[in-house]
Amino acid sequence: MSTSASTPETAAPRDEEGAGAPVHGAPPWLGRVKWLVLAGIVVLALAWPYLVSSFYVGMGTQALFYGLFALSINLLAGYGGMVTLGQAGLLGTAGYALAILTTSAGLPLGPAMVAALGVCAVVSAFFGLLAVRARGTYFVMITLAEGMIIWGIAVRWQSLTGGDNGITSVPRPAFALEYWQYYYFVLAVVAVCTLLIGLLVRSPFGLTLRGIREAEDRLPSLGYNVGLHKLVAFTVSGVFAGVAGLLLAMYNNFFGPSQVFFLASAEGLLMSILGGVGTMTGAFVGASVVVYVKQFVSSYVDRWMTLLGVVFVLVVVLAPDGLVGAWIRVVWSRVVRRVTGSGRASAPAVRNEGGKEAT
Amino acid sequence: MSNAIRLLAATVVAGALAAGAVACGAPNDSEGGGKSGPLKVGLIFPTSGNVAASGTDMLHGWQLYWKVNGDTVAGRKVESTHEDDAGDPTTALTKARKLVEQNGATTLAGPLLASSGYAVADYLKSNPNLVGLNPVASSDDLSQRKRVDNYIKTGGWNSSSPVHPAGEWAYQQGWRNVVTLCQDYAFGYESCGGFVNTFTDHGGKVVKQLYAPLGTSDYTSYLAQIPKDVDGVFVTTVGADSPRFLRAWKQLGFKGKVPLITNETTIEQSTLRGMHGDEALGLQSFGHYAEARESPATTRFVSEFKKAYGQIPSYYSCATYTAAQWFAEAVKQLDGDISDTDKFRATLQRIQLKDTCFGPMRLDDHGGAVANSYLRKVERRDGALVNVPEKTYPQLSQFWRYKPEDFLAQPVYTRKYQGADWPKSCASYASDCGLEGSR
Repeated sequence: MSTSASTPETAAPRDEEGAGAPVHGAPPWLGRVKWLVLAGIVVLALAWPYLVSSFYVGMGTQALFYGLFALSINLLAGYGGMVTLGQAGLLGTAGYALAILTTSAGLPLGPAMVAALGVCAVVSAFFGLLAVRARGTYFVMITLAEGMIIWGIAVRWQSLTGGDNGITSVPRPAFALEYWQYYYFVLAVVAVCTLLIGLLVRSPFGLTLRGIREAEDRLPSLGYNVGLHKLVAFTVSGVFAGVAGLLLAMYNNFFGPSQVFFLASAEGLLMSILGGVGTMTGAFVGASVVVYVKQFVSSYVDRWMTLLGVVFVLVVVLAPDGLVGAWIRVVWSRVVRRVTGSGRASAPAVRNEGGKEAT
Repeated sequence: MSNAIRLLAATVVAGALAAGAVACGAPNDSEGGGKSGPLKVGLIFPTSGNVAASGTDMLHGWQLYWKVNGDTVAGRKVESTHEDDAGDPTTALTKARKLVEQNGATTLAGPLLASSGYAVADYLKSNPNLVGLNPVASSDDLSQRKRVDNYIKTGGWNSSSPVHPAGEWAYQQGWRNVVTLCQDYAFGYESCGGFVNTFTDHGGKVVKQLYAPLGTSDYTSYLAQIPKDVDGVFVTTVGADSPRFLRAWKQLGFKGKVPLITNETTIEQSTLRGMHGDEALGLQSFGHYAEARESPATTRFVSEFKKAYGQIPSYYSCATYTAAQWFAEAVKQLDGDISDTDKFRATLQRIQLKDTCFGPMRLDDHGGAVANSYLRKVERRDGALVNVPEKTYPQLSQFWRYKPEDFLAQPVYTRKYQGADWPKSCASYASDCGLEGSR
């Protein structure tokens, strides 16, 4: 990965944290610290069910698949510059498809999962076709409308979706019935998906996507098919949201309209922004914070929604680059500066300073 | 792309480690409950969100029982932990897990909405070592086609049960052509279905069925669709929609001109508390709770509730109060040992309460409540609006007078199926067909 790929003066959200990026002039161990941190996270994630009670394992499971959901939004919003408010509709398409196929259609889980993802991909592509023509606020409004269409179907088409009552008895894979087994299953699926998204954003396709985010008008003149890139990004992102939807449906053994409602999309966007738009780990950090406040703090604080709102406002005001962005800017870059003798900060830090001036 | 390769390697290692961890076996699993110590009950009542007011009433009812009767039963202290599901099924599930796994609850009570109820029912189904008390989620199928054995309607009801007599009553009033206006979701369909089913049995005709979504702010457009020549209107509204409907009914001049009968939730204490005019005065409704019922159980409950919370209790409070009474009775009968879930469940199922704030109550073989339904009229007493029972339909089954097997062979009431063409003859009645031969 080369740091010259993006221009220093952009006010845009951060790219990936630069994990493993060579820090010029720094001792060789510094570059490895990140890998150590990453390894630490992996070990922690693996040991999680052995460290905490089943309730927290459940929260961890949710943080993982909501993290994947936030990451799918991030892929669109952070890398492609397409802020969506309808992503829960796509998550819900897969979730509902799985629920319907495994319960009333009586399909085995494996084929049902594949079919559900297929349905989700088709719907994503169709919604993408409608949405990618627009930009900015118009794109947001179209995705919002698309999400509401799915919600409308979920609530109104009673015979198919169970309406308000949703669909219960969605099965889990036979090897992942226990809460901790399911945690590892989710961990594995989310890890693979994260890896795939990681590869995607580092690929030429991902670079083009970032190019679209930075200067959509210039790319056609360079010979890029902007519309097609956006459509593919939209569809791929929808499918990853769909994977999160499958995991969610199987986790709760239930799927209902509130999971496809506009608020669910907004929550996903909130997770994404909270953690840091355009970062990979940010999605999971954001999801963890939201899940923690929503499910744990809510037991002790009646106005937990307000608390979440305050956290969100504080993050947006004090750290527009999100928690992960702030961490890199405030802590990591300082470490780097100290080690390298303050002269040459790491590339992300430079980029970020630019961002700060622009805002 | 060397980063990608490293990432890939890391994932493979992680995967291998995960597989190893799975092979190592389950992490330690702790489970609460036992033969001594406190009895832990987890409460899932929505105290925020759209139905927060009713959820708070539920909490108050539950707490009042233990305040009045003491929180120790058969030598064991009852320890309740409350969690707020905000009226959302997913949250209800999470909270159920939290209550069981964190707080060691072995009994769950709640929630309010049917959608949350189905989610909790499913959770209980896969956790047969738990027992759920369901005093409020009135979805018909929870004690009919989708019954879960360890989720029991203690102090509970069915959406259609109290209004089954309403259809018959309306026909007896001489109504022949009616319009129904119900809330556009499962509860509304079931409530309307109860009325339509029995009304049409006698030969009554439903001219039009209107459905208003939950959260309708203006009922004018719905009332405008009611034809001039109808004999009566049946209405089911819920929560904040109820006062809006009642205001529109009065303002548009329907009140006093067009006969109206409603279900329980349209004219409920939570509605009446906020009504300072006479919009509701004199209106009639059918319900399984009547706060002005003169019986020791009801009057004591109402006066204790007024003393504690300064208001007249709604049916939600009566329901959780009764559920607590039911629970306490079962614990008493088992001498404090509820560790055998099957025994505990069977005891709950068997209990007959001679008098509750609802009246006498027990469960039928399907787990549905057998309770009174009251024809109620709103009157002003001591400055407050209350539902006064005018007529009692004693000990109604969830199947009305139909044969349970015939009734269960029909689908649950939905927007499409309201039971208008069913049954075709008296053969599906278990007793006293009562049809007037106009079919």
